[in-house]
Amino acid sequence: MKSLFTKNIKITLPAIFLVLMMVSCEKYLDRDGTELSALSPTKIDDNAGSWKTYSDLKLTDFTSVVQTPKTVTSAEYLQEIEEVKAEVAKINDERRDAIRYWNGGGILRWNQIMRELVAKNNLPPAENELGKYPIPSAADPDNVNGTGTTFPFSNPPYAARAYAYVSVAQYDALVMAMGLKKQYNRKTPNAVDATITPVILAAPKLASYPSEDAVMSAVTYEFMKRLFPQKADTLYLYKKKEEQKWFKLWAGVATRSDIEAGERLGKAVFAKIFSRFRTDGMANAVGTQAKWDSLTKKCEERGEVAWKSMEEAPRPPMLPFYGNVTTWNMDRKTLTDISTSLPPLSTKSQEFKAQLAEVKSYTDNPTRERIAIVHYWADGAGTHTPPGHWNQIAEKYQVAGKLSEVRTARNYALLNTAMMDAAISCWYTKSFYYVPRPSQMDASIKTLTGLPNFPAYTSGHSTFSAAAATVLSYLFPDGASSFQAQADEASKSRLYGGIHYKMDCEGGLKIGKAIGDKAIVRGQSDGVQ
Amino acid sequence: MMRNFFTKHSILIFLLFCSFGVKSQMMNDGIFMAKGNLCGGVTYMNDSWSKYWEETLYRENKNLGTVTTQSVALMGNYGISDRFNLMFSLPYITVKPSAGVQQGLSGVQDLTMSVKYRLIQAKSLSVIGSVGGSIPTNNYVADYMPLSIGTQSNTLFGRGILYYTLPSDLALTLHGTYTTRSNVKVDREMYYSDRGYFTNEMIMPDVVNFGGKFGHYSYRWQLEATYDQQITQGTIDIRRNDMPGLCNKFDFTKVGFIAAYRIPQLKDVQIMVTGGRIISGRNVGESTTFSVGLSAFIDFRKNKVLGIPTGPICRPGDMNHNASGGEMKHEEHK
Repeated sequence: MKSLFTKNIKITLPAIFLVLMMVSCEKYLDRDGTELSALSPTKIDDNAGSWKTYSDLKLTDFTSVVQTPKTVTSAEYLQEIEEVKAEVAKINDERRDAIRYWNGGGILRWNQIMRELVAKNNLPPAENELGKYPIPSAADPDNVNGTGTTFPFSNPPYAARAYAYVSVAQYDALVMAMGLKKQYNRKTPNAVDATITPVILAAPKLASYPSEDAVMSAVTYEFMKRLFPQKADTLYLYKKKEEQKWFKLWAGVATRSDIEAGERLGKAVFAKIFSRFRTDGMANAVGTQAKWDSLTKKCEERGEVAWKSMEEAPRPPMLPFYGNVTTWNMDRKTLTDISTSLPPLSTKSQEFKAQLAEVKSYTDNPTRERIAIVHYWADGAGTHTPPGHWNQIAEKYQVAGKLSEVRTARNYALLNTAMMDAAISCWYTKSFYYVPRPSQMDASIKTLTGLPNFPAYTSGHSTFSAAAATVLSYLFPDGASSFQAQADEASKSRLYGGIHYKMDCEGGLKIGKAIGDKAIVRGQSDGVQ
Repeated sequence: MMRNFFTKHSILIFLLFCSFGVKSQMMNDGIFMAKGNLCGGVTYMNDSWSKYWEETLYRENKNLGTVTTQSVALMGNYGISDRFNLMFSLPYITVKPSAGVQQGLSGVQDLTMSVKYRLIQAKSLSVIGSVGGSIPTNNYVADYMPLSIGTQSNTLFGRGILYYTLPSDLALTLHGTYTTRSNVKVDREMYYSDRGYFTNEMIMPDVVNFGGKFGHYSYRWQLEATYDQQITQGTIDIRRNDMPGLCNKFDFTKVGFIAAYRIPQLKDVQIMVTGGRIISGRNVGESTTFSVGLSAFIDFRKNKVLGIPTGPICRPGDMNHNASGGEMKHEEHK
């Protein structure tokens, strides 16, 4: 009996060890969250060329870069057909992967890529030996010339702006592409020559010239390489750009002239929007020591406690003059009126003290459920930020809606301009009132998530979330109650985490809603049915 | 029993390892509990660091100050036979930073169970195999490093131990462990490690540990020097000025000591003190660890015949003490 036992153990121990070694080789996730099935729009939106752009573009602005194409019976075109056939014959696994990837939808893919790069670059600079924080410089993105940190630090205001501009540029460029497609109405090569069988893709329903994929790849790449100029990021973007530019040629449904025209259009639209980008006030958002001091002074002159950095080597506030950046869906006065319409409680008031005590009661008695909420919505350093989180939420509805590329772009543009406006408003409010964080008012408050390095009132999460939920409820009415519930939870998460007072959350939700409503006004008048 | 105790303790520490780079010198042992004997105990451990390696960059973080992890662990080791033992451990852990505004977490962590079997006894050399695993006992927060208490991963491990007894009560132990860790689910649905992930699931790389210890071992006293090495598979480092993540590559080299004594006046209850220091690492704190543990053994057999081993034994048939708590009959293994 004993020997049997012994013998078995001698066999099983090494056997288990071997199994462990083998199991260890298989490390994978069933899903990484980027999976998209083939895009198959229920409506092709072929009249989208009449939709209103953000940059007031007109088709005639671009007929010089996208001129009337050669006819499909011309010698030049027939030569292109031969190239298409040759490329289709070269299909390999790498190209198949690229075709499947981009067939999930160009706008959706670029949104994922942008969120990934925001997360990658969303790390605050470390202090140097002098206890100072280097300021990221677009002139030295890889920190090779002694800047002391890389560029960008894609914090929430930076990210909100990135999402907004890229979405707007994609939308404007696609609207122009749709207009020109309708104008020139050129067939796809597989429709011209029936011997060409599309690889993986369904036969396109849109006209072929200019290629919408080349438009998207050009306008997006041009913008994103400036937003994320580190060498590794630019190379990554370039690879993605080239794939999207060419995949329909590889698949037999676009010709070289379709693609080259698309690329020219994408670059031309980029140039128009980039001039706005360069002059929208972002360059002054960081400020200087004197300007930071003036915010403190202004607050103290009102007899209030001024915000100060709670980091051990005090860090300048995050982009305190971002509130002056140019808005999308309202004018400056409307923005400042909304942003100052709900003054915070005085730190000397009894109500404020009660709210401070409420924060402490949450941090002193954390529950597992509340911590889960805090961490689900934290979206802090190293993540795609709250605006990125709302793009992730929107993605599910965009996909479920089976929308055309241009409509997907339009929805992201409405969502992301609203969230950038929300960021501008919120940062305006923050610097205007300069309210200290709970941990500054009561050092015994120990938070459950990272303490953002800027003033408390209003809560950025609340403002972003209310603006996003408002816009998404307009775009996807079936999800309205879910969006609202999520916005409320995102807002409360900041109170549970001990980094915001209730007034920050409630004020942020109200202002965010007002900001979102302005985006809806635009959405109601942009010609989209 | 201490040994057994150690073994358990080591497992617990090993868990800590996986999550925090906290380690123990006590993972491995050539000592067994005699058949029908249970060794049980409790150990307090304190591990702290103020400097750490961000990838390979040696730095401090003023917003954390010194991060201190304390644990109280219950451990048990039962002798199914003189060469086949069953072990468990269960720690309560609390983590606290000395600076900054964030709070550390605390709670009961993972239950670890394992069996250990002496495969071969060739003269003074024991060849020992052990397999086991751990499971989180509750839904504690994992994705909040370095202020969380564990990883939430289910683990399975296999361990080999070579135990060599030398003259003059000296002993050498060499050990190696391979631990495979299950994916974990975290509270958020987006994170960046080597790339962006839009899911709440994280891959946990496997872990290799090996090391050795050498010194005096007898029933009454123990004094050994320890060396431990951990290599986490995978390639994910802490990025510049980021917080550590669960799936990082946590590597370290650690040296330390074990000192223990069985107190005759207290029925041979053993007090054990250990200390250790990480001397180099990657993505871990340069931590200093010490622990104090008490353990005792009980012989559950009904008929305790003189000459049958009781308590901890170094080799089959080993009888180097008297379990009744009287004078130690120190007849070293002949």
